[in-house]
Amino acid sequence: MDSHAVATGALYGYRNQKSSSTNNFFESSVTLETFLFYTLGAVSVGSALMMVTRRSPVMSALYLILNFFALGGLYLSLHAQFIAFIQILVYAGAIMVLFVFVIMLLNLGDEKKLNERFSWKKIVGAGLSFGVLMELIFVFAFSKANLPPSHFEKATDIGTVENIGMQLFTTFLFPFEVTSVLLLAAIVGAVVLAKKKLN
Amino acid sequence: MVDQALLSLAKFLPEITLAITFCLALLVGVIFRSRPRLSMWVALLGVVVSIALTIREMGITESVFSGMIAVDPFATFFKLIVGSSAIFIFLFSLYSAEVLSTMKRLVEYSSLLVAMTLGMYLMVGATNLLMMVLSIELTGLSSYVLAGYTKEASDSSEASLKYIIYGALSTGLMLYGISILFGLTGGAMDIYAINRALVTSPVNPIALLVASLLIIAGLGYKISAVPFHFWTPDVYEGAPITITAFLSVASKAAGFAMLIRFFKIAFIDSSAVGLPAGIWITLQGFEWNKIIAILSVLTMTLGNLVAVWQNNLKRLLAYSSIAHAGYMLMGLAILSDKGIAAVLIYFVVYMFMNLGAFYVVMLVSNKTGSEDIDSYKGLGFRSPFIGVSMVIFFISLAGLPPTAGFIGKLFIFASLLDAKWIWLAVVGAINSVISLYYYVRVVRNMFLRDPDENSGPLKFSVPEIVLLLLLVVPTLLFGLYYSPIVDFANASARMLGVH
Amino acid sequence: MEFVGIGVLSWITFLPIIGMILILFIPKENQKAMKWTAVAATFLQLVLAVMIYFHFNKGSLGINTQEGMQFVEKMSWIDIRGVPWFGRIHVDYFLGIDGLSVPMVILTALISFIAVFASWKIPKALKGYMAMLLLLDTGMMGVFVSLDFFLFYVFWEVMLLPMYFLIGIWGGPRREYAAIKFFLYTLLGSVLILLAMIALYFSVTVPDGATGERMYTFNMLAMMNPANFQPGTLLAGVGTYWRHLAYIALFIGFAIKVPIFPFHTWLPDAHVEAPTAISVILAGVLLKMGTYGLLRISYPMFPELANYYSWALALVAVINIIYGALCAMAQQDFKKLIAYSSISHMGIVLLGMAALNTQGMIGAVFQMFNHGTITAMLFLIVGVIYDRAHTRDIDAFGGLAITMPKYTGIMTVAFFAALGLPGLSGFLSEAFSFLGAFQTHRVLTIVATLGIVLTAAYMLWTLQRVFLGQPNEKWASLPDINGRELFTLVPLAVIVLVLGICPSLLLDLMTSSLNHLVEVVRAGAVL
Repeated sequence: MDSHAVATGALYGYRNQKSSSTNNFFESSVTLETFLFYTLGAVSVGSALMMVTRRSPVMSALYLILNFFALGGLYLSLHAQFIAFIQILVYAGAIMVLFVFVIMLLNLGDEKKLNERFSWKKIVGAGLSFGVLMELIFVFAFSKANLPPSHFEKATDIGTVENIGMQLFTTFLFPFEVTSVLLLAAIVGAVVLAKKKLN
Repeated sequence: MVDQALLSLAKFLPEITLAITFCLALLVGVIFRSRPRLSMWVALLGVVVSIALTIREMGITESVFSGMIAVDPFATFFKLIVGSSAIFIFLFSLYSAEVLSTMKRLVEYSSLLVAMTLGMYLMVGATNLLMMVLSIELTGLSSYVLAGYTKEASDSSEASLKYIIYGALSTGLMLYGISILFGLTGGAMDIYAINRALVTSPVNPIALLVASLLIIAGLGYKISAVPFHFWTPDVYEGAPITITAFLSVASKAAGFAMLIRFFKIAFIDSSAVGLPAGIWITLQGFEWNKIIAILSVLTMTLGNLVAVWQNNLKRLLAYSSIAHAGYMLMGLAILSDKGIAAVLIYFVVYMFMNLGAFYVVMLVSNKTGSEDIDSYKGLGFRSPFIGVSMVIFFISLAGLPPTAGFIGKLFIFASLLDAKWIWLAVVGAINSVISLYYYVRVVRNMFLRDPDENSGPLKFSVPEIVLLLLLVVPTLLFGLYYSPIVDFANASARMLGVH
Repeated sequence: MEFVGIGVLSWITFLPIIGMILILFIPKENQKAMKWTAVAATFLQLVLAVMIYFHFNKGSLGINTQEGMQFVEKMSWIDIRGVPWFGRIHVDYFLGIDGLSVPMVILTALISFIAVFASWKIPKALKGYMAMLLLLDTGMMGVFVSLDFFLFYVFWEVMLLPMYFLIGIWGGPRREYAAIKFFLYTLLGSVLILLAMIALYFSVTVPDGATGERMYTFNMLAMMNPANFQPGTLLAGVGTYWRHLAYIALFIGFAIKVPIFPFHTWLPDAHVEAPTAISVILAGVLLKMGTYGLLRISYPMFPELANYYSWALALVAVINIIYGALCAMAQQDFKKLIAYSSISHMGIVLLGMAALNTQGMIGAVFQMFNHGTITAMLFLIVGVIYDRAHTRDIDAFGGLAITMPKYTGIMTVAFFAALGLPGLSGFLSEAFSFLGAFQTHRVLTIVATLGIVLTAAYMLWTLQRVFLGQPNEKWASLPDINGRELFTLVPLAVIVLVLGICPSLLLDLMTSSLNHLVEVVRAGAVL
């Protein structure tokens, strides 16, 4: 098992062998893990749908928070504790607060009547999305994708902060540093865009 | 591991220079607030130094930062293309009325250009999916802002917004594709590891197809291949001309570098034996080169056909740049190093002629304030030198001898015929005839139409003319003596871990 | 023959470029200097052409051997090596002439010289005009002297842009349309030639003189040797599918330039809109490049297909002859009439080529030369009357013989030469072509002779409408032809007369080469 694979698994909360039931979920017996997976999955899909369909922006934002929590739970069930908490802290905590602030400042409370005519674009778009969905279902469920076995022996090792920190400052040191440049560029960009208003 | 990272630094001086320049340009801007031009000079100097350091790297083939980045002739080639166009863009900016009118933000402009260049330097060498995404993001983020840099113009803001939304969408699609690929290959992020996994344990071809289509969506957006090109005309029209020129050359080059490297390393059957030198084959059951061929036909045909109707020079050149992406995609579809070398040759040529055309558009718009085709009426008589230069660039873009553009097309067609892709070569040839029509529309306005009553001769300063000569001379010279660029491209078609 | 260490063919090709550069440095006001610089450049070119004429060895065969070529200049231009998968790329700067090209070289020099004088009264942007004219001159000359396909192609394309500008800037009312039509049509032909050229390039290898390593080449002479085609390559073999395709691509490319029937529509537009001197060059030299290309490239490189398609070529030749003549008959516009007569006359060239025997071939090349001189005269004549009357409507004139007697005299010579009156050069070349073709394509040739009758009809009818009959009051005060115009017309008339009486002056140059060409094509006739 090379360190590289550990690293990638650690960062992405890679599935372990126990939860490999997702590979052939039609045949597996119901364990706590699969139960959690389906529950959280249903919540995340449902909340995402609700978020998109709500008229009120505040409602949308709240459903988005719910979605984030469900995703966090999914990460947790994959033994990616670190990612799970970051998900909640950063997205549900920080970014959502920003969203709500913006909604408040822009006073979007009285939502405008949205133009909901059916146009050919929407039909085509819906058709395409449905096609992609079917394709993905086909690929992952019915075609018995011959997925290679996981690299990890001890599932609980994957997502620990220690492990992630180790990888982040060795194998992934370079992308980590590049991220800092990316953030600096983003800050400069934000300043440019903000200064635009001031001028 | 840390030691290895330190060792890698020595092979990474051009990028480090750019990172330092990025910060330095900002600092200089903050310290000398009254002299914003200073940070532009700092940025220009930084890019020049990085090019000098890149030239020192020529011939090296090495993997640095635990397989994140490849330093190889292929990457070096594209770094030189990106770096040289960055230098040209800085020089253009010194004379661009548009950029200079927003003097207050010149610091941000210069530093973001450097950041964008750095992103592209990383793009051309990235051998890891994570690095690919990060570098695309770094390039993208800087370019979104730069596209909307001239706030006064509302279409500039619109351009920026459109760019961001399409960019976010395509990066999202690409990430999704990457995650599928990641799963299919058992958690491989290194493109060599992906290839090993795909070759040793074949996966469901449909899943692979979905993953690669999604990744093509992300990269196709960068090189503005049809059908991922929708942002291009609006962004090219709305952005400042200097940025448009940079996007059309450097951004496209970086995108192509990444596309070629990714497909040539991850998706070929590296276990195949007994192939002739310089020929590769696709993974069993997954002929992605057919997808690329179809994309290239769509891209060049649509680009050329739509360009015929354009009246704004920037839009016209935007569609023309889409068409050129189509020509270059042909070089990848044929699965041979000759094709890759042809693409590299095309890029050298394309850099000079396309930057040249945009530079002329900028000079004219400086004086007339318009990029409309009507404002080019009689330009050939109002300023013969500018007019003749533009004709040379356009003839080169259309691919007629004795200009460099002909050499670019010649090698693309030659590699196609060599690989017996006759139908694709014929489509490309017919396309180049169509393209002549809209280039000549501009030439017609410049020389066959009389200028408006009240327009006198246009005068340009000596440095402006010298800068133009720097682009005209190679465009003509490489058309007559092209050994240097062919040799250079041949030497640069080598990638880390192939051959 | 060398001057200052540079071969005569390089001089004759690049003298106009030198002239062009000089003209670009002459200040705008000094129009006289520009004109005389152009005159000097083309005059020197003509002098060189005459020297070539006298130094030309009439016995050497040429066509497919370098030894048979004369005034050869060969230098390595592009040489790329060292990458195994890329193969070796070699392009030579390779010039040389044989009996097929020497009449064209002389014709080009002559017509260019005359064209400069015919451009004396260009109303605007003289500097650009002269520069473009000289650039065009270089392109034309280069096509006829290059023996490397790549070089040939570069010269072939170099002509497009100057021609576009010359028609587009200095042309008539519909100049923009005519110019772009010319440009697009010829470019379409060019890209087909380009693809065929690349396919040939990848099929032919020659051993490197020093190392014996086999390398790809653009050398036209190497492409004519079937032994050089590597087995397994695209165009190897005899009469394969790909060879048919390549032959047809080349044929269309050249046919557009000739122009052959369905590809001819650019020609009347271009001729009508172009200024006089450009029409002269267009008809006098440019059209010949198409047939020259067929003879120089298609025939010897694809001999089996030249035989296979000779019947088809004869058929399009007959269509060209009859269709061109019928269209000419229907024209009111003097210039359009001559444009269509060009199509008809080029048909005779094609018919001679299709004969695939020595008479036919000689007739074809001789007709190329004669058509060059005669049509040049005709366009100059139209130019003269248009300068004075500002109309080209044939019916608007009448009885000009009374007001312009000298003009009428010259015109009669040109018209009779064009309709093939014995004693004038046109008769001989047409006769040779028909004689040759009659042996190979009997029925088609008989049909084609109908074209001669039609030509005589429309030529005489035009002569009658313009010069005879009641003088039109409106044109009573037209001045007769002036000295400069005479200077452009008389040499051509003299050539037409002299070659009509003593054709061997020109025929001797080309007989052995064309004989050899026929042998080469005949030898490859395995299909």
